[in-house]
Amino acid sequence: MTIPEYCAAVCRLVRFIPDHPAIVRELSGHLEDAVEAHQAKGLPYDQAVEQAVTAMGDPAEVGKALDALHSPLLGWIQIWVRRALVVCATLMLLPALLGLWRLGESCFPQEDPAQWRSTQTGEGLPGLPQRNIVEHSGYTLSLWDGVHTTGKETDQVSLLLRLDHFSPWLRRPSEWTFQSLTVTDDLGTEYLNWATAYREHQADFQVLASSSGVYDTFFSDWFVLTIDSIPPEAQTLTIALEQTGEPFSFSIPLTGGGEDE
Amino acid sequence: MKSGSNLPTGSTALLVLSLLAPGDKYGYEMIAALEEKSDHTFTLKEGTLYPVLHSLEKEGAVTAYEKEAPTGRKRKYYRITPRGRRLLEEKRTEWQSFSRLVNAIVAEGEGLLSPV
Amino acid sequence: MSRLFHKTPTRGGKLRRDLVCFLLLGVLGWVLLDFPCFTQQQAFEALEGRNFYGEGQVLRTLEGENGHQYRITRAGHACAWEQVWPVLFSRFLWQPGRMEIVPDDPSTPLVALPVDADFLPGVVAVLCHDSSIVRVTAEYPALSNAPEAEGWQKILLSSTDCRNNCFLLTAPAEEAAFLDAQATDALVLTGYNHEGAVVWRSPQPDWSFYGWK
Repeated sequence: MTIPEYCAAVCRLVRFIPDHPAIVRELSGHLEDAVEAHQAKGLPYDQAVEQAVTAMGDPAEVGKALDALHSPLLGWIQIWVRRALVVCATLMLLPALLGLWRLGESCFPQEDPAQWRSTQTGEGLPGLPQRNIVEHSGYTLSLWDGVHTTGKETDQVSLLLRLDHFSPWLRRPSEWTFQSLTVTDDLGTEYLNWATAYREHQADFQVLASSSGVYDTFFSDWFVLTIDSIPPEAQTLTIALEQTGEPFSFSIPLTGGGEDE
Repeated sequence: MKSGSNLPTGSTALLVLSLLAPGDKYGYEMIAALEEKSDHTFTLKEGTLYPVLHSLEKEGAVTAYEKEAPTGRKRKYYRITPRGRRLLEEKRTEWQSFSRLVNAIVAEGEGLLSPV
Repeated sequence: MSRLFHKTPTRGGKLRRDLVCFLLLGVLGWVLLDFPCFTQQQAFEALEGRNFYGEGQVLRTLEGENGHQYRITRAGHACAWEQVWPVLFSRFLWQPGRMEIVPDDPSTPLVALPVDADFLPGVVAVLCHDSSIVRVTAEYPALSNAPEAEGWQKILLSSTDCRNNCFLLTAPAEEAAFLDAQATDALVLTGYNHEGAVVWRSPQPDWSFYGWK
């Protein structure tokens, strides 16, 4: 019996064909080593092969034992899982690259919130930043910065707000939420926002409280709330979200404004 | 010489693990080491080594890797894992208590035989 | 370390490694699909969270096209319609969709809530605060494309289908009868009691834009 014949006799009994090459490699390697050892002792090649094969024992016994260890079920499951994995990974490659690119962009802010103040004229509001002034539905709202601009007759306040959301299911809230923020002052003035103007069909309206997004990062959104036409006598502003299931509100003092007594 | 005693069943794993404990080996190397150490007393049907190695590999007692042997051929080397060392320890104790028992019985037999 | 590279794993080892890769691929997919929710309920909760709505009490649920799910909820002095949509495999992953919150005034007997006039244009939910009302009608302008009646038409819907104090009015499945997103404020609601008498009618909106008085 030659080396290939011996290996073939073993493999005939191993049902899981994909493992045959590895078994053949290992067994023939062993036999070749044995043949070499016998040849070194002076045996001719044919006899060396014969001795080596005989030393291996009954190929049927080895084949049966290996068959029990190389389970076709597990083997084929592994092969098909690998194939499915390759297909899925290939299909996902392009969207993955595009998606990760976008994700990377949103992880790093394009602009620095600290620069916001330098783009504003007017005096800074006192006592800022105020962190976590509102906690709602998994969001925390912080009042990051604010400026008070004194005009000829009325004042303007711009607030830089930061909204943190750590849950992967929370995102920048809908634009409507920002435009629904209602602003009132201690004098009782209500500053019209877009939501109210739209809901009540006001004609020729002037929106006095409006929001705009500035920076978006993956876990935080920054937006600016601008309130116009504030009487100089106003001491505090109250900002609230009222038209919703769980309203909230917070107040900020305006001391530091030019005409404040 | 080749008609020497057959190894008791189940002891092959113990022998294989013992052979791998000092360092990584491929199949033929193990057979050669076994023959040399036992002074050609044991004969193992060499082919049966591989099912034992594959089952130890499946159990996680040994891992395999392919490397070029000093002979220049690519060989599948086996290496004992920490789990394999624990298994070896277990099997060794098992073997020792078994051989102690056998020795005791054999010694008793000797005592009975001698006066006759 | 280099030994790790040479290692020839068993089938079991390969299978374990492949399954871990699958898991990682799944996580990557989840990230790429913009973190979809695993259940419809979770998607609704995320939607409510994004709108600072609080936890809504579900009054009605309805289904739109392509598996889009809608529900009508009430929370505090607000009511809302909420929409979530299935991602990839229908009914397996969900993404929060749109939502509209309307103030719910308990002193007003009937509050109209047109459910997604863009994507589900034939449905009007009406919240009822008067238990004597058993039938509700809604009249609104709808834009017709039919050549014989081009322009705005008045449509009248009627319903006695009330659950959790919420009537659901559905327009016939013709585009001509759909409530236009622009016309949601031109609705006239009327509530009738058992005897068929009018209990309450909403103030007449300005219909001059549609060419009627």
